[in-house]
Amino acid sequence: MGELVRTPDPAIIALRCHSETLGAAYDALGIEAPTANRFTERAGILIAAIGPDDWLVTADDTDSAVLEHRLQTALAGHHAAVVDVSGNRVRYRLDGPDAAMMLAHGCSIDFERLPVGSCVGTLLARAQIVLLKRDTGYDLFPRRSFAAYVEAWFASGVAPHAVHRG
Amino acid sequence: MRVQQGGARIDRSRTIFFTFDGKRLSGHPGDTLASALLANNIHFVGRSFKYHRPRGIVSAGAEEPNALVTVGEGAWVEPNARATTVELYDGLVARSQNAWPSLDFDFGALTGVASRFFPAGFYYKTFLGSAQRWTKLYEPFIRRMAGLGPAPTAPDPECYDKMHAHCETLVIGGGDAGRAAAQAAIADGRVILIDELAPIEPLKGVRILSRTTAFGRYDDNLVMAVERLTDHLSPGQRSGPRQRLWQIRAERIVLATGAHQQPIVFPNNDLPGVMLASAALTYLRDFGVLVGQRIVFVGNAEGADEFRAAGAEVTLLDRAASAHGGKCVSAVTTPDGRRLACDALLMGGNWQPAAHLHAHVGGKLRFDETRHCFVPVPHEGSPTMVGACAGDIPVVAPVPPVVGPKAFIDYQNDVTIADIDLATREGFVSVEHLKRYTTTGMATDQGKLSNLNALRRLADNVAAQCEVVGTTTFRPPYTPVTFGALAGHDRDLLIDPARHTPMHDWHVANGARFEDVGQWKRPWYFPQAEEDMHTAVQRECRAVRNSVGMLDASTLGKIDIQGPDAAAFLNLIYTNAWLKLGIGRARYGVMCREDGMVFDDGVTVRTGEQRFIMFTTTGNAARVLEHMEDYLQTEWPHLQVWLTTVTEHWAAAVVTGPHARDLLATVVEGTDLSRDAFPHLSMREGTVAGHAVRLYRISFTGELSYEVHTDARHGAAVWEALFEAGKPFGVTPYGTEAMHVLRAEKGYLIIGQETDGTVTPDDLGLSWAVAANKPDFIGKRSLARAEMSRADRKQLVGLLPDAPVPEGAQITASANDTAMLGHVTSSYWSPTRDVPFALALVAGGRAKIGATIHARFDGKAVRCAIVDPMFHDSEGGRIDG
Repeated sequence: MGELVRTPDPAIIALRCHSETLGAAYDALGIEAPTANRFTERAGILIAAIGPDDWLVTADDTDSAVLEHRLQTALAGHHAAVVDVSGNRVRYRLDGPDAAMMLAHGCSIDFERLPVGSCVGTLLARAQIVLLKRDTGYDLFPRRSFAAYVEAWFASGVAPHAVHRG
Repeated sequence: MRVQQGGARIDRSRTIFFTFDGKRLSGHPGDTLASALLANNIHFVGRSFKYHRPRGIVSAGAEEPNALVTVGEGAWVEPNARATTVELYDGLVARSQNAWPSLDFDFGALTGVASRFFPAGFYYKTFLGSAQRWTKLYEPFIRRMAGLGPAPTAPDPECYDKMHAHCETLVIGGGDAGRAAAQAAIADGRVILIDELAPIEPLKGVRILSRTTAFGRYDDNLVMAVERLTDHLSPGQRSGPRQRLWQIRAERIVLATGAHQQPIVFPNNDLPGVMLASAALTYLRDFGVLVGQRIVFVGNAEGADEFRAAGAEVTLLDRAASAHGGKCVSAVTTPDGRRLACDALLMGGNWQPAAHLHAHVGGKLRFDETRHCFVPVPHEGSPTMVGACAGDIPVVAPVPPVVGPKAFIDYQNDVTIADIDLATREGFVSVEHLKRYTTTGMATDQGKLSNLNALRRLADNVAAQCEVVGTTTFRPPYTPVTFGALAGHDRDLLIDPARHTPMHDWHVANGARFEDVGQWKRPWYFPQAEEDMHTAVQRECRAVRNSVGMLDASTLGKIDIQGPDAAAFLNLIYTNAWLKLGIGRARYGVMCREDGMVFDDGVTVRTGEQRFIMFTTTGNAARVLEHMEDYLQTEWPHLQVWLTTVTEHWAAAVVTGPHARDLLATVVEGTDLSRDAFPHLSMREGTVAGHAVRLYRISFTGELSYEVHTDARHGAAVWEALFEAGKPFGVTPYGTEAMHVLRAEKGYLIIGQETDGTVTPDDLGLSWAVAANKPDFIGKRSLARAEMSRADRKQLVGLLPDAPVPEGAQITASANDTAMLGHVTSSYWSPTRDVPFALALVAGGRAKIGATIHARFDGKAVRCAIVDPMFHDSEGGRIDG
């Protein structure tokens, strides 16, 4: 059993900078630095290290323009790109005892060995996603234009596991 | 016949029924179709591929070359199922193949008589003959006579699944060696055991995939396998997916795939009733089936006593000179001329390890002179091999082949020893050539029972060691895999992701017909009532020219470019100059590859001192980003620039037409839209329906145009607000087809339509966008070559044809000339001038303006006047409204 829920669109900022200049961003957000392919979060703000010099910052309950401005201010003077990409991706939460099994129908990640707190860029069936592994389930961020495809795939593609759309 | 001995795999307490060629027969749960047929004394189950010879069951497993049958009915029909691996279920319907009108009387068997006309290399020899004979005679004949079972015609009603799995140890093969290896690996982590047969006894700590065949091994310890979930059930009892494709990644792989006993070559060794000795023993031990009552062994006679104990009369021979019989073997002649009556002739050949999965990733084999077979050679990082697969097989002296008529080497492709000999005489002495020339080993069984005998014969013929002759290459799949399993969920609506823009639902609700642009669904046109496409597109174009239209341009590629060197970077990427572009201003740019050919074009806008947003064509969005990242990371790592894709962040609505400004004036807040305050090729910010928007004055229609970009989360809301505001002006939604017509009237090019990778900026009339005085840009050096300034290069021109011409039509100087001067790249009906018009690439075209040429297609020639590629508002005044 598993439950797939589209959660409200968060604010999303793409952050490109060299890791040595990143400290200023963490201070601005009050978050601990994640190591490679991990994420950290505090008070509704999350920062995920998704690639070399490449971070994704998401926030619930914070306007994307406000978040963008905070980061731009914190990184002023550094060679960094802070870009509001809230429209780029949508977010789903996948919970339930069979969540990993459901993903395994279309994703080549070894979920049993993937530590909680990991983030990976991968393919779910034929859609690129950013995936976060949490204590109780997974956050999936496909690109917005792929949302209908991802939902259709879950609806028909992961038999025999029951899927409930939230 | 069924006997009291043996039968470990069957449940004798239950009887189930099936039909073969319409005849009702019985068997037990646990039987394979082959064991049940043999239990009913049926050996003759099919006819061969080329000569339509009667054929029987040879083996008891996946290596079966002969006993291919069609299983199931209607949409559930499956051709070419190996009877030796089909699990029997109640109500199973099986039919023989390749026989017409019936198995017993087959017209095609006459080709057996004519077999001297089908020698080795038959196909190659006919290819060398006249082409007419091939199309009129050989091909229709071969098509009718050859081939295995017919493919089903109804859509497959089953569904298929895919699954990824990971483990520390993957063991392939559930025999004793495989089980022992799995057991031993439990302490090292997760163990998966793949076994071909019905569920075996569980092993604690081991995940067993039963009814599963590992059919391919790939780099980095990836194994592909197919699990048959419901094939053993009658269709009425099936639920869920029929098969599941497994992609398994393992730290270590253990191969315990066993070995295949090889046939012995002598005349008529293909008669039904001639089978592998080991297979006959399997039928006795596992299924309680005695394959004959007068059994003759040739060669190795392992298990002879068990057959005697089961009541058979058993004779042992070292060699056979020939088998005899019609539709089943009835006698065998010994080398000294004695004739022995028999109803089963068992071939005790030597064994060949099933090393396919070892060899799939380049694992080597060596010839073992003791065991007379090729054994796998382990290497660094190769799978561990255990049991028979590793060469732990009986040492059996090979039985030399007997040359004579119908002494088969490859059963499934009907290759005889005489064919191998002929091929050698004709000079095909490389094992790879032999395979292709004779087709030995090329059937669906991949030569599991033929390669070794063919290689040995080739080695004898050329007096070389088997080791020197070598083997052909083993490639996946080990056994045939259904297309359904490979497709998995990727079918019907999921066959490819359909990408939707934020305004997609609005388009659907407003009757859009969609066009696939890459994976995107873009509105193509919006027909009203009974309108056909032409009428709708002409109406949409006129609305844009006369009033105002709206287009969803969200699919355009968008890339955020930032950093102190952003302008310098653009100056290198684009052919034109970028350093002096003012903030808030936009510029059209052309991108070339190193070879100087146009790669992409689009508008880029400076949004800050160190920040730009680049627009790319829809189809090239990902490629342009990769191209630029590639240069940043490999060629110009000193440039401080970050690239971020924002394609999906910005929803974009084009508002274009004489009333575009009037429309926006009613709905945009906080922006001075006046002509002087907001000139062409500039950007402003504002608000629509409470949402922040960016407005760009960019025109792809030649009319006054605005692109309204907003966060995709609000894309639908902004689109609807704009459309509502446009109603007093009769705003018309238009699609990609009208967009194409409108841009073509202005001579604006489309990458991939006017360009094909061989077109320079100058060929397109864009030399104004090439700053030759810049120190460098991608393509600069190539564009300086003399070849690039030849006057007879194909150049973009406009055409006014006498009648519509299709895109792709060839251009010639006259109606009779055959020299090709170019081709039509775009062709439409002009809504503005009500005439057909086109764009074309024509050799030396610009110098030919005013001349007449011909567009040729379908045997027709249409006269066209060459004109400037500008069919509307050549003064360009309409762009400012």
